[in-house]
Amino acid sequence: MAKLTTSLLIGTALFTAACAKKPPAVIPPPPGQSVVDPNAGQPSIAPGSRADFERSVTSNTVNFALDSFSLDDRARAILDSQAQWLTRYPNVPVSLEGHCDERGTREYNLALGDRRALAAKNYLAARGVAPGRISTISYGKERPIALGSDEASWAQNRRAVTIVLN
Amino acid sequence: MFHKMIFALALAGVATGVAEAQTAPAPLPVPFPNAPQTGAPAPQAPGQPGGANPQQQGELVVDVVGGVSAPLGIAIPVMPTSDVVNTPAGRTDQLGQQLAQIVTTDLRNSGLFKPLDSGVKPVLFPEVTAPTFDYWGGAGASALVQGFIRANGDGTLTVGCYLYDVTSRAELARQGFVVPPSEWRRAGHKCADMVYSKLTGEGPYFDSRVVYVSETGPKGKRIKRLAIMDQDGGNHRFLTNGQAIALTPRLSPDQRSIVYMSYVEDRPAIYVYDIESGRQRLLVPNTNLTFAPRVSPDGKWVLFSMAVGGNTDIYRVPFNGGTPQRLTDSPAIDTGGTYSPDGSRIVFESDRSGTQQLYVMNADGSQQQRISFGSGRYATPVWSPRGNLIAFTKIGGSFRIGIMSPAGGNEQLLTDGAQDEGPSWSPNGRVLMFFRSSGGGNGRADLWSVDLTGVNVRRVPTVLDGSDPAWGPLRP
Amino acid sequence: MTQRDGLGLGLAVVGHVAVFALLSLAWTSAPPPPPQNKPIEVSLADDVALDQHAPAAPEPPAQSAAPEAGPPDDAPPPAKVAKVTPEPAPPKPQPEAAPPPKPAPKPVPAPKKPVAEKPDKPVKTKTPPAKAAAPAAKTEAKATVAKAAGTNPKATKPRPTGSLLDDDFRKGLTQAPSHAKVSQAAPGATMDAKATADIGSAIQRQVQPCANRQVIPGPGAAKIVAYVRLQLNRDGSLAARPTILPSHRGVDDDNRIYVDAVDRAAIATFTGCAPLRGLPPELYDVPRGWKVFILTYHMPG
Repeated sequence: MAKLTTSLLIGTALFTAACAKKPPAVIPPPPGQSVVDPNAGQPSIAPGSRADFERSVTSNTVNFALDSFSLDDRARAILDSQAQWLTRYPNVPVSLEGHCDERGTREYNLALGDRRALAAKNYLAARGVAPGRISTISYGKERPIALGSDEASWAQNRRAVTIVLN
Repeated sequence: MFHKMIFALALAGVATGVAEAQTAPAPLPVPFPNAPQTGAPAPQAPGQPGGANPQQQGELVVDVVGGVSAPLGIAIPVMPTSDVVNTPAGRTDQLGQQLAQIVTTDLRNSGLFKPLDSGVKPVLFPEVTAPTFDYWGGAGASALVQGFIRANGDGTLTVGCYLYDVTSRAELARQGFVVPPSEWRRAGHKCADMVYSKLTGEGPYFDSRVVYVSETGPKGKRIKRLAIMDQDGGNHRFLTNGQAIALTPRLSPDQRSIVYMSYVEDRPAIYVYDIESGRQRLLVPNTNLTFAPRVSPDGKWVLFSMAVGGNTDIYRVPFNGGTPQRLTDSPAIDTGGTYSPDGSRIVFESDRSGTQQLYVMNADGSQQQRISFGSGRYATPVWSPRGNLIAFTKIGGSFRIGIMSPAGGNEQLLTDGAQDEGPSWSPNGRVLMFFRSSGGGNGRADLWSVDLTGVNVRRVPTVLDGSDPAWGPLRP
Repeated sequence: MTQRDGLGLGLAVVGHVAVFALLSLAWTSAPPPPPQNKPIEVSLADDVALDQHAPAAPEPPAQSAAPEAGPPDDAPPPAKVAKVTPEPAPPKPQPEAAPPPKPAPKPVPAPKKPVAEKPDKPVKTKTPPAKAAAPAAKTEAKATVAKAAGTNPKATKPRPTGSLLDDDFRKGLTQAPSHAKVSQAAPGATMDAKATADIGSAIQRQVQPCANRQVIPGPGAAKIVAYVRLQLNRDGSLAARPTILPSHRGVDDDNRIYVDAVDRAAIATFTGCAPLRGLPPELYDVPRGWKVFILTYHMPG
């Protein structure tokens, strides 16, 4: 009996350990951004769909430093995982949105958001994603996801988001 | 205070005033868009020939220094009407009340006048040209604005406007306007402009409109609509329905079009919106991001910013469309160009030096020179209609509105909000309108204005919230 | 004490003496004597006049000037005349100076004239001629008149005095009134530096409250200086329309639009505080008096 309990315990531990996937490397997307259904019990997530994309990749968002459009290591890793999915479904068009935080003037931020979107796009293209299927759009500072006026909020708002268009 | 006019004007004014009072009190109506007529001769009596140094005349000389920055006390009683008549704009007696209110609000909001709060008695029709100076002087007014409104038989309205100097008991200026009922408010603004210009020396600016981005909704999903209104908030109209973000609007110099950027169909681009018809056309038909449009003073070009391959530069294109001409080509972000009032030069912002700074170039893109060298970053430059100043947003910890001379230098900050940006000049170059954002999750943006001297920072009331104001020219 | 000790002691003594000597020398050679102040001539005058001549307004008297001569006929030698602060306008006893606006071509002062117009020597001694010291002059004049009393142009008694005050001279004396402009000034009243300063500040004090109320129209307006010519009546009220002189100072392209407003403010500075009170009537109608003056005006900033 004790042996069984032990083995059960060990088995459970192994089992849960196995099932416990590596913890997500990024903060889970805020509500409203993705429609990942954690249960994944619904069989209707079609492969190649946006929902499929967003549950498959590390994140659909990469972040930037203040006033910058260069990709750091983490951003590149995220884009790598996006590129993997995108090359698997080569016919799916995507849009790359570039965003800024509120600490820039409106027009300059439109230009900076465009740069961020393009930086991500170019990286994806270098990873084998056909650039023709990637459209870019800049929202400047007009569409923040974090509403506070503090460093944490601003850091979240400086982003490029990959949106699967279907 | 400007309450004493020099005697030449006083005598001439009194003479005409007296003559007028003896006849029926009907001034000379001057229909739009004729130039104003002041009914008084040139103010200065002939001076010494040759303008010799007074000291040489061997006369006693007394030096006096004095003056104050304070608003001038002015009385604006309700404008009476000879007959109460119903018009499409309303009853003439009520219009008379509202006209006085328009003049009062305009003058007060300029920060240079202090309309009387109390003691503004009703004025009957005959008194309009025969003011009771003793009363108004006793009430604390240095200047007096009286007028009247009359419905003409053909549906138009006549509005008369008189400016008096209370202390010297003289008429300083008079104008009359014949307007269709739909434009009755403009008569009030024209009257206020006459008073303002006469007493301050500044050019007029009250009869003008502002296009801006009306904002409403939560910070993460804000609805931004193109809107237009009179500079005092009247006649407000939404021009887009909010389904697509609208940004960076500008009025064309002929005031018939608005150029702006719209996200319609998820493709942010510049559109030319015809105010009368409500129709708009795409200005530059390609897939590049185009934004920040400005029409040149002669109406022939639209200056704008376009992002090609991730690099934003300044271009210009003929107003009616065509091939864009590139004016800047640095790998930096070059944007936000605006023309000088004579159209010969352009001031813009660029981060080619590493941070956002201001540059001036010729209208063809040649001779680009940096003009900002202070600490911090500079953005959103706009050239004053007087040509002698450039206003901008100064970024350094906070966002503040500032001015500098077009050669750079003489920098002065006018506001001290946390996030003030996007200044726009009034037509006479005396007032700046900008938008001020509050922070935090419930942060909102509103239109504000400030006088060139830094005084009179006040909120411009709008129907909803607002940003990106663009002050149009004086209406003819 | 050994020899060495003694030697050391001696050296020490010598050294001390040398040090003291050096120090003493240093004292003696140190500060050079302060430069001597040359004495400057200082004249302690109560009032300094700008004019060192007779005022131009009163016309030169109709009488001819006689050379300096001996004493008048029947007057005691005017030894003290030189002391008289020579008043340009004949110093008379009070009543004569008053209302009747006649200049002074009376015979009595006539003989004083030559004396009074003591030539150019007087430039120095005249420095203290107080124009305002009319009273003093008057008393002196009285004395002198007394001294010169009795001089009668009609007196033709010849006297072997060797004087040049002979008949010819007396013929030159007339009672014809001088053609000088009628002046209501008290004798001797002119606008010297002190009076100018006094009146200037009296006017400025009275108009200052009105100046302070003028509204500054815009940035850069404070650079503009406007000049207004004002003509006053004796009661301090305006006699005519103020005129703005065409030449302004400090106008540039940026503040040109404010010139009219500054001009109006300059005039209002006066008209708002008119009439002016308390200005000395005797200085109204003199050269550089306050009958007509220039007000220069600018705003602070």
